Amino acid sequence: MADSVMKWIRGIREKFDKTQFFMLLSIIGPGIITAAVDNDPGGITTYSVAGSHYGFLLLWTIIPILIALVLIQEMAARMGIVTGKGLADLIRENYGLRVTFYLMLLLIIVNFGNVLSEFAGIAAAGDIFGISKYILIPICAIGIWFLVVYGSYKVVERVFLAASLFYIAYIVSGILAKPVWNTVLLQIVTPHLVMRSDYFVIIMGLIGTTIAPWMMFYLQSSIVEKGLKPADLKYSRADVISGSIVTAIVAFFIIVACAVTLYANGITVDTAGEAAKALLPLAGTYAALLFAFGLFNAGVFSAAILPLSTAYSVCEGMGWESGVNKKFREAPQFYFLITGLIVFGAAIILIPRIPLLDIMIISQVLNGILLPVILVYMLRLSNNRKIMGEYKNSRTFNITTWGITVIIIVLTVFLTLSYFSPNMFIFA
Amino acid sequence: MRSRARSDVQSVSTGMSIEQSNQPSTSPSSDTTQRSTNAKNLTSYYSEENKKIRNLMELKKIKSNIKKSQSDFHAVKEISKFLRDIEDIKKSQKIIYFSRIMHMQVFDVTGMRVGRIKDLAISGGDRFPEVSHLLLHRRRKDIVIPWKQVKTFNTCIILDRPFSSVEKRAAKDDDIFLNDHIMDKQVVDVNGLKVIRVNDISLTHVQNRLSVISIDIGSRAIFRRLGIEKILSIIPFKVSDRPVPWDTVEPLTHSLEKIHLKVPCPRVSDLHPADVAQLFDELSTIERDTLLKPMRSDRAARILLECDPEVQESIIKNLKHKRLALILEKMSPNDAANLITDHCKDRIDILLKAMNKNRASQIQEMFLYAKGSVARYMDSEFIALPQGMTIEEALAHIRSLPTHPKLFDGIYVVDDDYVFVGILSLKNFILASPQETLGSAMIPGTLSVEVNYPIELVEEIITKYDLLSIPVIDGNGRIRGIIHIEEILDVVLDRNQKNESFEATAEQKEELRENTRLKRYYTTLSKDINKLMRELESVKPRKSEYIGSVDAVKKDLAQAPE
Repeated sequence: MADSVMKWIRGIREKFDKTQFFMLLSIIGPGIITAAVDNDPGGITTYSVAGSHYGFLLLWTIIPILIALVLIQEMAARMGIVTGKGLADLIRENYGLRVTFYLMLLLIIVNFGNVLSEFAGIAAAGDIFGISKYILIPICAIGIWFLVVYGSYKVVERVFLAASLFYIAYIVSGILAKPVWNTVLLQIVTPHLVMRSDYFVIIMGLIGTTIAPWMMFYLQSSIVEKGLKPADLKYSRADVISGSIVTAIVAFFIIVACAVTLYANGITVDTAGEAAKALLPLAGTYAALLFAFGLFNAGVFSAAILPLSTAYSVCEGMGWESGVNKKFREAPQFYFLITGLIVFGAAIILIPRIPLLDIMIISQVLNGILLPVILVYMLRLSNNRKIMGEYKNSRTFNITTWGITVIIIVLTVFLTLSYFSPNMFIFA
Repeated sequence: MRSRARSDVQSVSTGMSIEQSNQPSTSPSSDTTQRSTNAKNLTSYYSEENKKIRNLMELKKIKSNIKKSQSDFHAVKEISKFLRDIEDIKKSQKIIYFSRIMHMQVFDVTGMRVGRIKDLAISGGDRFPEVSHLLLHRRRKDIVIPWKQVKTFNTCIILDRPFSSVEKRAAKDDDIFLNDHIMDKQVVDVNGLKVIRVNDISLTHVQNRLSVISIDIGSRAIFRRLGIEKILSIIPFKVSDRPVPWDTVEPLTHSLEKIHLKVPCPRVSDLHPADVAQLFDELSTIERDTLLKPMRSDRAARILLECDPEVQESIIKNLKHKRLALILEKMSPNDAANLITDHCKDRIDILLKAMNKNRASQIQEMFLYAKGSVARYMDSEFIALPQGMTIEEALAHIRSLPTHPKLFDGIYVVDDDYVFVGILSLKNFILASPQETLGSAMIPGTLSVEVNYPIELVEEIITKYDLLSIPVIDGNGRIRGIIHIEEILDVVLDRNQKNESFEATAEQKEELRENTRLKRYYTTLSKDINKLMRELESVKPRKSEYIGSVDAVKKDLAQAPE
């Protein structure tokens, strides 16, 4: 029996080996992985809050965000393939040290916010399990540090990818909740503008969590790492598009699940325990546990990948030695960054009565604010014929992406203004 | 390089003459007991060989020391010339950082503000190129004007004539600009075998010319360029400049190919293939391609063989069929076959078609043998001659050969059917009288392995009998190739690395690299430049230091491993 199964498996493997399936798989990857890291605790929380506060009213944002995500990631992928250089590298070579330094400083700050939100996610999961954060967070921080510094990145990536299958739970839950599909489909294509500042905050959070600035650095670097060449561009596009669609589908179902189970019953998410109720249709009494597991998993692995990705980008831009195979003495800045992000991230979460949910949302908003800055540089780089040659952006591409950038900038300005005079937009 | 090679030859010949005096003669054994004594003879012969090699190495050391003292004279002359240069730098009292010059205001002799400096163009002077032009940004336009027309520059630049009479031209494609092409870019540090990022460029006046002397990769340059260098006096830890002499770096940008029209990347092309392979580890695919493109295919082949499997994979993936075929042709068939099975099975037919027929059939033959078999490791370049030939004839024949095997440690003697019968070592070949036949001078050999043996078996045989090489025969006893001990070494090392039982620490690796690298003369020189530059930076320069540094260089030279 076992023999025949093995034979069968071997047969399949040989077949695939002959076709170019694995070739495709080996190129496809960075986009999917980026998409998976994209749905971190900050993401889950922001989508949950969106669904529970506004029901289906924010569903329409998913399609524009998806388009923006695809365009921007494609741009990053293309730049990586054509130049063979990471984004930080390109910015340094073309805009000099000063610009790079301040951008990297911003990136560190924003990514520190992201790391905070990952640890907040872990702490929230601990709450549901009934484990005190004062025990859980230090253990996780130390574990993550060892994983990053001594572990194999490839292993981390694989485990993380496997564990992110958890998001299927949301898809099933969303379907089991039996939303009125006609309404849902209608809402997807009907834009709503609610003139309330928190509505805009959530939109900004949705943009920030889905199109996070670190993703551009991460994606471009992993594509460079793979050593793809322009002939692989179409595979890479397929990869990026499928990754983006996965992100969008997960976001869609989290919002739907929350809208049906929470918004309809008048529950607004203020703690992680409430957000967990979105999984009731699937898991019943186990919903909280399932949710906590997902949050914990996403938190731990994003908290491992983010400091690493930040340290790589910053060292690349500043011209410092980097790499986990180097000794501390050889790459001090690299290890300082990783250690600093993890240690301070964990330490801040340990402050008693710190509002976990707010931290997660605010960090996503910060992402959204840094995004246009990075976008402007990306657009200028990918329009430079000297760098991109025949692969520079097309006119339609430029109009769309500049449009997106302007919209995000306008949103940022709105948001900043509403922060200083909170009553400005509240009409309702 | 050339003098090195000559000294090797000399030491070899000296080694031979010494051997002659204390070497017991190898007696030809009688025919009846031949088989049993052959192996013994062979082992004794090979242990002799080992001893000889040890002796040779001793001799080489002495030789190279003598040679060093000769070249010392030359070195001191070079250094004193360099010190004179440095003396000049000292007179002018400072190193000028490029970041400070950037965006300086430019005035003409009448005091009219004409614009800002946008960039500096360099030219000539392979060691330390001088600044030839400056790129002026005036009214949103860029104008190139010659540096010669600059009268003074301190906090701003003053031209020596009214702006209207300044020679002006537009920037050309073959101008090399510091900011555009060097600053903030990645360059190869040929000494450290590393890719480094340029944080700043140091210029200085050498004989009234403004020349580039080094690039800076230290963190201090970052503070300087951000305009917050003053903070450094408050910070408790030391942040220093790390200058790298200009003549030991190699720019990587594509556009810089034009600097070295004749020899692309001359500094990298001086490196040993193993060093280039190490460098490739750090480069991106595009940068690797830039370096590989102008290389001759035999050099590319040697580098490719030295690379890590992942690097090999990515290089091969990016090579066009024709070029790859050319490179594979330059390898020994077994190496080529191994590379093809490992990395480009799918292109095998196209590649073989693109190669010359002879080589293609040799490589194809390799595919008949399994991957771990002896055939895949053997060197198929060797000299096999019939036993009836006399020494004299053999010598003439060998000399007339168009190519010679890379490793030539003896002659493999075969009978009329090309069946392997014995080995004639290089030593015995030279010692034998010219009229003797190969058959009588050789040590009748039985120690050989068959093509389809697993390589592990050869490993055992070679270590057991202390051999340096062993012939490979096919089923009919015909000789097909040679396994050299270095192949076995590779196999053993590879396996150990896979088992991770041998994990060299970073320092050990560094040390190994240091020792194996060809220490060229300017390694020590560049150390000195760094030292002097640091000294120049300090407030009170001590004059006596220069004498000391010549001595230091001399000492370094004496200690440097060959």
